[in-house]
Amino acid sequence: MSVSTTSHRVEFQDRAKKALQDASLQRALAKARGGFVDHRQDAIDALPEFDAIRDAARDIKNHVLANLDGYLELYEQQVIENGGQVHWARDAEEACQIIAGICKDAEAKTVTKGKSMVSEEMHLNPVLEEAGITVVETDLGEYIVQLAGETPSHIIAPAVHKTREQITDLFHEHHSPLGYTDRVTQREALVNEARSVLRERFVSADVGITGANFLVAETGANVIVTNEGNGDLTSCLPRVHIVTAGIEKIVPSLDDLSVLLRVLARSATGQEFSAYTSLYSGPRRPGDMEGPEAYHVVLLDNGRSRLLGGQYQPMLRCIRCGACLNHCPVYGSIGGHAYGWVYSGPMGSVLTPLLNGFDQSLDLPNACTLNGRCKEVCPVRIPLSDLLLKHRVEQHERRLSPGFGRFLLGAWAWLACRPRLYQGVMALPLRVMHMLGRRRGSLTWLPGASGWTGSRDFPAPARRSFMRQWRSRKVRS
Amino acid sequence: MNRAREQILGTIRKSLADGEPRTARRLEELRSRIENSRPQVQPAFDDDLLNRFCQKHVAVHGTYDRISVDHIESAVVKHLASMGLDAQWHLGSGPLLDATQWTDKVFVYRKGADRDTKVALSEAVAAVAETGTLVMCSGPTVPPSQNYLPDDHLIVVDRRRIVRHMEDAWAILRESGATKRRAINLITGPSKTGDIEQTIQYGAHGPRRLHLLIVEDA
Repeated sequence: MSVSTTSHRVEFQDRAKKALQDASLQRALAKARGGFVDHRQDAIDALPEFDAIRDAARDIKNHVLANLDGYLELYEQQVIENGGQVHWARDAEEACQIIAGICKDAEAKTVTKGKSMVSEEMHLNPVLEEAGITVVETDLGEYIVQLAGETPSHIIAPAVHKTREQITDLFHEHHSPLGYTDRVTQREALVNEARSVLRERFVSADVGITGANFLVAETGANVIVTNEGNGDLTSCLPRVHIVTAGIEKIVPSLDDLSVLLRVLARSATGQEFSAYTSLYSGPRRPGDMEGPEAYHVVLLDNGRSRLLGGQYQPMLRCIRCGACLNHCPVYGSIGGHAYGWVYSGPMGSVLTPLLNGFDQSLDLPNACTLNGRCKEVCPVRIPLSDLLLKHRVEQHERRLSPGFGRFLLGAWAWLACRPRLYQGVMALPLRVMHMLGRRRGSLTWLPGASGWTGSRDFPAPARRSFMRQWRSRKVRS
Repeated sequence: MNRAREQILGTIRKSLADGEPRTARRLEELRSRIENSRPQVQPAFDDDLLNRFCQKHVAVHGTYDRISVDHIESAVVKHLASMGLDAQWHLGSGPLLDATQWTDKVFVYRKGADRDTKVALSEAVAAVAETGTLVMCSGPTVPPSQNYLPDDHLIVVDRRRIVRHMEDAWAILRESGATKRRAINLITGPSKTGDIEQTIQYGAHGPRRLHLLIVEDA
């Protein structure tokens, strides 16, 4: 990551602009927008205990984070007891090397993958491909995105930005050489074709890589929550099962897991419970007729441990449900790719600068209207919009925000601390603005703020400031 | 690799407090919190567990028959015939299935499912009324591939094993030592995906249909 500050800024603004002008993307986003929000609301209306469960979920996560080193040790002991191995990776590169090493030792030719955002975070696929391994994403959304040569644009709906027409074209292009020469266009036929193509991949893969929604310290199991069953086929069929997870994914007991599962699916898709919730621990047991011979967990830090004990620690409670994305007007307008990394929407805008460096993602905390819906819907009560504000303050204090803006703010602060001078200086522009906007009650254009007035009117100020009116009334009475 | 472990744990400790490793006593406290873990806030609902379970199962696109223990084979054959399928299936294991004497009118495969498996017949360790969820545990005679590869998955449920909440199922698993099995699979309805235009399609990678045989008189 050697992108300079300015180029990143330009990139984000460019990507956001392109996204707004991309008709297909806008069609796909419009289609998705209502569904997630309405389904979640229905699921929550049907559960009077939802808020109490959210509090319990937050408390469990806080307790784990406050004792993370201890719980990681307990979890590791259980994995080893089950016959599995735990690998610790300080950063993305180390994690990729560990996984590539396991695949090499297993003489793997094909790897199937269940959906894993952490593996996207570490850019695993190119590393494996470079080692001569065929990598197949098996979550339907991830598969579509992989065929398109793209990255996921949503943490739970990776292909939310793709229209059915685009998926039809992709399947036709990539499946024709496999003998699927008919061009299928209906949803059901598309799903069936992918099922058939990927079925071959599942049964022939040497290594399966999945993520983990949770890691249970009580049993040493990794938990995956899916609807398709691809994560289970990836976990059960290959000779080797590798789990990738951030170190913050621990829950103490199965009872704690239940609390988090009750908020996860409801917040993500509005389901009470996903079709498949599975706990896998260790390799096949003696006497089992199937299951992997080896089980590895790769625990990724990548900057997380530094966040503990600081003002951004609440972000480590995140269970990656995507509710904040679904409720964010900015995400809803530009989609996930504009954010430039695996995590998008409000959680991405908080997390990306923390993991990749403050100077890498200056625009993200500012691409926010501070409407607070993300904070309101978060199942583990992360104060997302407050954390975004903290980012802005930190940008200012570290002198990372644009110099001209900081100068203006400084000048304003200087002036505002001198009330008499402030009123004197402001009197003239206020009067001019009042005159210009007198007829309509608002201004459609302001010098130096055309970006702001481009999409809304500025209310015209009163002829005299509040302070002046107050004083003259006081004199009168 | 051990250096990475020590460094990560070290940073966590430094960030959290004084940088000191957890004492044995502190680890013991965490362990005892796990061992004494109790159910927390749970959704309340009325007492008819069977009714609630069936209702939730149907809500996620499942089907079911309520049968007597003597009719497991005939119920399976009848269900398969209604779908135009032959009387053969991959067979799992459980108290009810193990006690069933299969006639020579049917053909059962006691092995893991493969890419072309049409039908599997399994038995649930428990069923959760809260969400309409089946709890499956892997074992020497229970290959988890049977849960995911068939087009049609049939699961036998002993009515007495329907529990109220998820935590009640954990209690059953803990008691029998099943939490130490390789795979615990919670199944709630057939396989589905919403990845094309956020519209639900059934039979993404796993079973297209999920049919339960609820045994009322075991």
